[in-house]
Amino acid sequence: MPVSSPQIWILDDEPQVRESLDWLLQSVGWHAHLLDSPQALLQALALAPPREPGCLLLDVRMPGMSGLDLLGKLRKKAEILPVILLTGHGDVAMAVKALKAGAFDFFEKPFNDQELLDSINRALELHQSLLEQKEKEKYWNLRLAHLTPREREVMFLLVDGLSSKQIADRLVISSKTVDVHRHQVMQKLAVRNLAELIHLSYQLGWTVSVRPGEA
Amino acid sequence: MGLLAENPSSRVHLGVLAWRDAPSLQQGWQTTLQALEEQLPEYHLKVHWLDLQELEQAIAGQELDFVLTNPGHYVDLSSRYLLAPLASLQNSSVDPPQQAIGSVVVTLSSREELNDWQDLRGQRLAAVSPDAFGGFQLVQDALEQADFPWQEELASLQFSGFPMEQLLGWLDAGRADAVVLRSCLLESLAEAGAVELSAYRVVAEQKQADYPCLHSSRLYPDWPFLRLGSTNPELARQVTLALLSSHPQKGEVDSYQWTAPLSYQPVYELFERLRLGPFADFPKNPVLAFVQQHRYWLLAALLLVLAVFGHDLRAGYLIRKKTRELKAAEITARQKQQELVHLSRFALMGELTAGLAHELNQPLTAIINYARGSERYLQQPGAQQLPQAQQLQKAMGKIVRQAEQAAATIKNLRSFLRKESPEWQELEPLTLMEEALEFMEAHFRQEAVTVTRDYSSDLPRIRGNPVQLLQILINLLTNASDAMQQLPVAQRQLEVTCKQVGHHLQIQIRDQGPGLTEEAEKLKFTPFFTTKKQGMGLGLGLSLSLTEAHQGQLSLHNTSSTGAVATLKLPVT
Repeated sequence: MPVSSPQIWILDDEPQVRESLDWLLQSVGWHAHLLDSPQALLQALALAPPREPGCLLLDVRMPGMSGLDLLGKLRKKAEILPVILLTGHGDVAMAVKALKAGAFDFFEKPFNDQELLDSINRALELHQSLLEQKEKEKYWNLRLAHLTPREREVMFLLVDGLSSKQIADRLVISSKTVDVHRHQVMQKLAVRNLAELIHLSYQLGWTVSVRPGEA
Repeated sequence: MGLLAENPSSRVHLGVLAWRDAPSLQQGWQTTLQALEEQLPEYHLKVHWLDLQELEQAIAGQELDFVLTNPGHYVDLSSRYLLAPLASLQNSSVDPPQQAIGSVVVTLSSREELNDWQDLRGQRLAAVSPDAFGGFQLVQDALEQADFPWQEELASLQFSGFPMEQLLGWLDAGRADAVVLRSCLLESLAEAGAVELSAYRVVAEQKQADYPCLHSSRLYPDWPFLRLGSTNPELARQVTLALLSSHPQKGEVDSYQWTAPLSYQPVYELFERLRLGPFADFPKNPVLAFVQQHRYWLLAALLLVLAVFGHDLRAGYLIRKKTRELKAAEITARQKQQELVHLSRFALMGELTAGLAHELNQPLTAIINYARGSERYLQQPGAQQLPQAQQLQKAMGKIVRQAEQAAATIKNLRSFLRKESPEWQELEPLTLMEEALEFMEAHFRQEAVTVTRDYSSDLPRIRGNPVQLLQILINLLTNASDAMQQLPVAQRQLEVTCKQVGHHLQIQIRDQGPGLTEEAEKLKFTPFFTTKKQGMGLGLGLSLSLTEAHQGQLSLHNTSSTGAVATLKLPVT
């Protein structure tokens, strides 16, 4: 299912390439933000972090900062926007480098339009799921913030598969108290049973060893 | 006489060489002495019979007024004392009287094989004395003139002593094969009936028309009558008159007659040849003697000449050697340069194509994008109503295919030119850097660029294609040098640093030039962009490509002060 109004960024120092790409994307009903320098992109992303599914079409060879360098920079910032690298002269080494650096895909100019559009579509879908995941994490992290420290502790131990009795022993409290905490956790996180809690924590990657909000 | 004898000034001292025993001498000189006594009645003549040495001592002591001696002795003395001949002797025992004496070598008439000087080889020769003028020295001269090495070739040379006549007895007795006599002695003896002329024959006989005696040598003047420098001139005049007016009695043996003085020059010449008398100290070979005398100076001069010559040879050799070495070095350098130029040209062509490909690839990409986009527009429902929608769609497809073909062609060309077999190897960074500087040395010298090096020690090795890395370095060095062309010579300084930064080897080339303009800063790696009048604008692009092929990084920035710095980072092994 194609995304209806994706946020596509095109970063290429050659205006004719930028604009022709724009023309191609418009022909399938997509609108793109045209940028001519990495700095412009970084500024735009900083001002308005993408909320809608999107992707970046990035030329590898540019004055100032190369596409690969920019990619590295984005990854460092934990930017999840998928990046499709475009290059004037591609070879295997370059492709490997690009993918290692975290590129979503890699195209050599001139490219097959259909392949590129398909790739953009896949990137949009990925970004959408990433965004949703991020939203979910955000939501649950917010929920998690409502738990008291003790409740959180009990929750993590539950997720790790400990029984109430075991938790009581570990925390040196009574089983009854554990049950009270457990009830609170269920209510605050709006899960009906332990199975749902475990599923949720699995989705969000909560474990005893990785405790969000406690880093 | 008795009165006069009391006056010492009226005494006249005559020294006579006593070459024979006193009686025969007195007999021989009787005529002369009588004539003097008669002509000079107011003087008392005192005759001193002296041998060669005594005679000279008397002259040196100024005891004598006159001297009578043989021509050889006279010539000998004349080099040390003032002597002048007043008259020369004539032998009147042969007819006509002669003014010359000579020597004759006589052998028995039976020895017919002895004809010439050379025939005396292996023979025994006898003479009166080595100092005898007519009795030996003249023959000695003749032998030497004939190139006959008598000292080696004669079987023996014996001296009998006076009187000379006894030599004939030696011949008869077989004690000698040949004897030396004064000329005319034989004839005198024959006239007196003492010998038979036919019993003898002459060796190396000389012919002289008006000389009546047999002789083997040249002829020389006879004895002189000499005055000394201190002799009273009036006395000398009277003595001369007395001598010239004396006449021998006919038929008298050994009678003499005086005549006007002859030139004794031939005797001088003879003595010079024989190195006798005044010429005794003269060397046989004047050139050799000169050499001997000045040997140290000559040796020094010779050494000097040799030294100069040697120095010249050595300098020549060194120059030739140096020239050879230089030529060899030049050839090596030229070969290397040619190799590099060739590779550069190939790489440059690749870069040219790459640049061209990039420049063409962008518009081709745009063309294809526009065409594909247009194609999609035309597929949309609304567009289908356009009358030529289908034709346009087809045309768009054709545009795309044509553009794609163009792009493919360029790509093929580029991949063909990029198809180089990079000979990668481990490299010492400093060796590489120095090699690049060596290549640039002539250029730097010409441009008066001085290079300072700042190398860290213990630099790690790098992996790469040496030729390509050299190309990068040479390109960067050339740029740095060119950037300083407009500067005063003193400021044309180029700094090269090599150090390790993390996992990279970092080479920096810093110049003092004006730095990069804003435009150059932006376009420095863009193909065909150049700030040089004769540049193609591919150098830095090529360097960047080569650097990327080595997984390295290349950057070019202005420094904080003046000039620009090129930084090349290459991964260490």
